Amino acid sequence: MRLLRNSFAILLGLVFGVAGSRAATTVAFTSFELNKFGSDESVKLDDFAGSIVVLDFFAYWCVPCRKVSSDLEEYVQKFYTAKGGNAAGFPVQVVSMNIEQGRAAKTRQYINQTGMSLVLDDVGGKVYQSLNGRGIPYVVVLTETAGGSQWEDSYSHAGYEGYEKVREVIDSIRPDNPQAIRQLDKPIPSVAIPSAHGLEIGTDGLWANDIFLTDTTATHVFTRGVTEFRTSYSYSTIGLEYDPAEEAFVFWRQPTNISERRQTLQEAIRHTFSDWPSLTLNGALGGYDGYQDYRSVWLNEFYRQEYPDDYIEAEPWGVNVGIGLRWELAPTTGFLQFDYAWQKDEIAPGYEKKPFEPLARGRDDLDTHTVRVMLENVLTPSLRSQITGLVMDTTGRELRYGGQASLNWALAESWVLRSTVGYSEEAPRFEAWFVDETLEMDIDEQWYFSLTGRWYTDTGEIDDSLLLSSAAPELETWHIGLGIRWQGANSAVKLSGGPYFTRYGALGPYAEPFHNLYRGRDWGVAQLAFTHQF
Amino acid sequence: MRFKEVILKEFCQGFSFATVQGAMIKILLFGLLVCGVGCASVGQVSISEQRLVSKPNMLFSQSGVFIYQNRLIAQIEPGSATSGGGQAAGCTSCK
Repeated sequence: MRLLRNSFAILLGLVFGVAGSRAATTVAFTSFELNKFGSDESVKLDDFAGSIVVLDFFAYWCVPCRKVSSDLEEYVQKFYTAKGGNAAGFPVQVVSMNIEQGRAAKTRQYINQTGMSLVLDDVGGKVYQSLNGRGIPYVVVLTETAGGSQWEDSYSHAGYEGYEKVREVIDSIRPDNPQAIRQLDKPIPSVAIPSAHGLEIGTDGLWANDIFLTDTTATHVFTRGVTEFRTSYSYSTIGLEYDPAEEAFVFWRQPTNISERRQTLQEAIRHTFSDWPSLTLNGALGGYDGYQDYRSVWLNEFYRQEYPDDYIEAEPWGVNVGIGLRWELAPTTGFLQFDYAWQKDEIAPGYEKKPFEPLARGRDDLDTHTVRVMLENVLTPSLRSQITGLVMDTTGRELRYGGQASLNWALAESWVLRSTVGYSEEAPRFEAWFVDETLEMDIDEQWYFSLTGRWYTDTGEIDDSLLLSSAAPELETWHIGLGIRWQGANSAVKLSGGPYFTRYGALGPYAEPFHNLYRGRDWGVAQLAFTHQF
Repeated sequence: MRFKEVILKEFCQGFSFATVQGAMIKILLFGLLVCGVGCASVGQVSISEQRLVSKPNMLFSQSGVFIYQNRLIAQIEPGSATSGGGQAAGCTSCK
């Protein structure tokens, strides 16, 4: 627990230490002059003197920008034009700021689809930078109500808090002289907190000639303002043709078919409580009922047959709770996240029979404490990285250290390489490595084709049994797969699959009964996933 | 407490990478390196250059449509499981 306390203290010190030096302030801003998109006609900010100007920084390739641009045009520009101004009578003008100077046709398509009425080219993002842009979508409200071409930054936000928030800011802008307030044509509309829903459904399958595994997960994501609720339900099945190794004079071991299921319910909440620095508090709570993996089922059946008089029926289940803090170093491009999780598992334990001693049933309750640090960043214009490090402390075991580094690399306009390298280690001798590579090609703007490869190896598991070791020997696996994904504006579907091969090393001298559990297998792997935003 | 002991022991051994403690130091050093490179790069890639890294398949999404690793494979590969007590411990039947 000291590890956890120290880690939290260091992270909070780091985050709030940095946060304290970047407090947001209202700043004065001088005018700019930019050309209209696709035109030589220039527009000055001072042309809107006496008005409230809403700047919407966007690029055609920015997915979240699309809703922002559309909303601001429909619910801010048209709204205040119809009303004749804000609550104090100041005119309101939305100015869309295009920061992408290439591929004008795609920008024009974006403008047509979102209905923007006034678009300026912010060449090189100079205005964006002068307004301390921290990622797009970036919405800024500038006010010049006192004359003198001195503009004030009344509001700036990287990300999107909804058009209602922008209206709230606009309507809060009043002149210094209350006598100058003009009577409203209509009452101020009530401010509703924006909300959105997302639905994800995914089914994974993994099968060999004697094992059939499935996992189906449905996730509902509900976003309300700056808070996100993610609810997941999983239903997993394990089908097993149990076949113990034959040994001379061992007649009690019998083949049998076993079918098990597991249900999991998980709730995660994210709440952004600070705009700059952007800090998000994460919380998670969940539980499951059933076996976690097919090997536990296999071993449980083995012990049931091996020790029928003293065997106690296993009923595996588990609960977990977690908390974390995420710091958006740069919205949409980088974050640092720190998580702590506690998990309690009731497992199907192992059994051991020593000569002249009663049967010993292994520990069936485990507590696991996990500390995880994650960092994501944009390294170059074509390279995005994510690194994760974790330490796990499980009852009765040494600390396990793990880490993985992922790089997403845009090789060309239509080619993306996604690479992940992972490592974990536990005393006294467990080590594991894995490498994942996915090459994805854009067939067009909706269809994507992928080729995936994976390699994994470990040194074999750790077991301190004296007579009968159920620990897995060293393992090496390979997987190669093909996938295809369709992506629309609000939905996406992906189908992937391929062969998967597992090869174990030689079993130890006390592990012969587990020969059929730890034999090499050729598997099939398939995955179907669907997501929809509404 | 164990964490502190491991750190002290490792430094006293003069960075012997042959041990588990050595592996932890390797992970820490690697993390610091990447963190350093990563933090140093924040703000270096201007917004007008982020077109490619903003493509949907360049993001690290939680959505299954962008994740190509089958969730069930973790049942076989104990070293790639990143959560969970019994499974993460590597051997559900071990004592």
